[in-house]
Amino acid sequence: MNDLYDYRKKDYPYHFWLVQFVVFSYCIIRLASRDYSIYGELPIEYFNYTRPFLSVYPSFLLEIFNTHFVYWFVDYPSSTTLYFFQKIAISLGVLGLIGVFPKICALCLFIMLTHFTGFIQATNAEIEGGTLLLAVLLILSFSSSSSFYCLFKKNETTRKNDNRWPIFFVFLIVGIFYTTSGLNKLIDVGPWWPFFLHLERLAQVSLENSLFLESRRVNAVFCLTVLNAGYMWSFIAGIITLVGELAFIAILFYPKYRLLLVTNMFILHYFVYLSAGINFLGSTFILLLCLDWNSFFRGATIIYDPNCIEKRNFVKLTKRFDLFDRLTLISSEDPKSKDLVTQNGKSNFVVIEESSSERHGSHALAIIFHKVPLFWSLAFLSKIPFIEFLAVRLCNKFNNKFYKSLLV
Amino acid sequence: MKRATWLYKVLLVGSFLGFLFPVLSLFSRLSANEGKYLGKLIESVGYENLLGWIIYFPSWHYGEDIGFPYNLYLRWSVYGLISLLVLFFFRKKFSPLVNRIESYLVGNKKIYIFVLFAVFIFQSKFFAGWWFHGIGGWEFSKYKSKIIWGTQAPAKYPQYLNSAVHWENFVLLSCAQKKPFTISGKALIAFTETNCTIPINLGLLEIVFPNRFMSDQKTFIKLINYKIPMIKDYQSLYPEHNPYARIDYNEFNVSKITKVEYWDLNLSSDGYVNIISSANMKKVFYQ
Repeated sequence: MNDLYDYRKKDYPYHFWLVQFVVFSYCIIRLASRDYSIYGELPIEYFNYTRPFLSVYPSFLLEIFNTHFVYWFVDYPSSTTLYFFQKIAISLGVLGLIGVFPKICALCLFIMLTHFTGFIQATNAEIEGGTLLLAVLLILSFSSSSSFYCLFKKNETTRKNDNRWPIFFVFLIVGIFYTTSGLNKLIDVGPWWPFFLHLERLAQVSLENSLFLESRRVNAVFCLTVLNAGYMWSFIAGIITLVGELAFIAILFYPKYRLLLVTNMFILHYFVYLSAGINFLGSTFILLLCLDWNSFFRGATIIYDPNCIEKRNFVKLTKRFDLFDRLTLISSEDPKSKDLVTQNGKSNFVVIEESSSERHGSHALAIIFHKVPLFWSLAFLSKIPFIEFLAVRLCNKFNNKFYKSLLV
Repeated sequence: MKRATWLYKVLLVGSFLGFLFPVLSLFSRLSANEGKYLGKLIESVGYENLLGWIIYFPSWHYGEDIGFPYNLYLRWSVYGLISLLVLFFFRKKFSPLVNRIESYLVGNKKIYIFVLFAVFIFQSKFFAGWWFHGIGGWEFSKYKSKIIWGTQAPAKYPQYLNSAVHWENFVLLSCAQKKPFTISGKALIAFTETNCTIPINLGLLEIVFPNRFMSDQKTFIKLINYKIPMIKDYQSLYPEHNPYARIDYNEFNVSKITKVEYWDLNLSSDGYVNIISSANMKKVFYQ
């Protein structure tokens, strides 16, 4: 838990701006590529919440949450009303994207998209792949107005707590969403879920259905590949899915595994798309927000032992290529360093990133890699647990001095 | 309960509701539609005197398409019961973790309230419109291939049915099979006022799970005719999130459909020649 993404710290607004940009852009794409007006053509008797997930509880409770309680008092809207309602929602998305009343736009879009989803729930489905988008819109609507960017004014770039907690909130929401999905597999099927998954049977049936244009779209070549890979592939894919989903909440406190977990979920969505035609790839936009993008902008202080040649050379090299001036070097003999580091005697090579506590060894190196463009490829590789493990072992074997100086 | 944290209380209440409501929902389903499911249940297991009272249970389900997902709901209910018992009997073991999480999150009320809400939703299985208890778990062990070994002799059929088959995928499937085979499927063909034909699928409607509308001829044709004038937009703006097969409507330029034919098709392949071996019209939807 030492690496918990602490919402109480201050941070730069860049990640928040990315959330604003991505969420409003995704809203526009979704709304421009869908047509909800057809729900205005449906007879009223079809609005009866038939699906098992929805109807455990009396439907009036759900109608309070999806805002369809308004139809207790007024008639269902016509297709023309819904058509214009959707156009208004797109306009709000554009306003939010350019930073004009983004907080209000986020709240209005949350209500409108929840309302659209309500039509889907009332007729014959539960979700349309927009749950995470709705949740993040709600976070934006709760966020401080000063955190949003606006294209028509000079935006504040100082570190503030208001920029940080919404990002923690995004991590938390996405983490809960995927982890509970993993738990559902254990509850709905059991711990033996990977054994019963049988993706090869899905692939066979999907491939057979794909012969008829009346049926679902699947990627026939992908289905054939899965078929040929057989039951064992299905089992392995099941294990990876289950572990990946259950562990997803770890994006909050294991930053090293964020990239791995996010990539894993993207692959899962992509495979579902290829094999079943269910396109939840839009969630990738939200998944990408679960990487710590501010780590490229935060400054870091390196406290090093000037008497150690390895350390001195390394920090000189990093400083030389520190194009964005993110790094501050302090000699451990400098009295200032005593104020910054807790004296646990563990290491005399310490990196302290803004909004974070001191880091030693490979964790310290990983932070430096994010700051120096020359090392960005290493920053990427450091996110892959196996590669990091291998690199540390190789370093120990072939460059013992470097290992002892910087990695221990 | 006096010193219990809110998180603990929410866990407890959520678990209780999660135990109770799936079972109550099954009762509600049994008494719905004048005991349609209840009749089937009594027919299969007996005990009419014991189960008959369920017909008086207040139901919150109505209309067609009510499922009876007893297996899923019983699992949810058992999970709720186990959670409840664990929370009750192992409270001391849970308290440090729950207290730690709560004391950290309580610093930001928005985050704290959401966590309480998400925990409640997960435990109680309440569907809150914009948030729910996560994607369900399902598997495909009951999926069975529709392939029947052996071919059928070719039969006469209207040529427009050829356009409803994805021939490239048929070739791929044929290559993957070692023996001649026959497979069955469906085709939907729309007819214009000038008697032109085009294969369609339910993706055209842009409704999630639209199958239920096929049982209502009037509504089905009405929905198709609502979408037909927008078919160009559909083609250009709605390409990828539709789970149905992609059909090229670029050359299709009409404003009205007068008839839709629903066909049962059989396709046969001996590994070299792929044909439509039989075609039976299942239903016709007239305007």
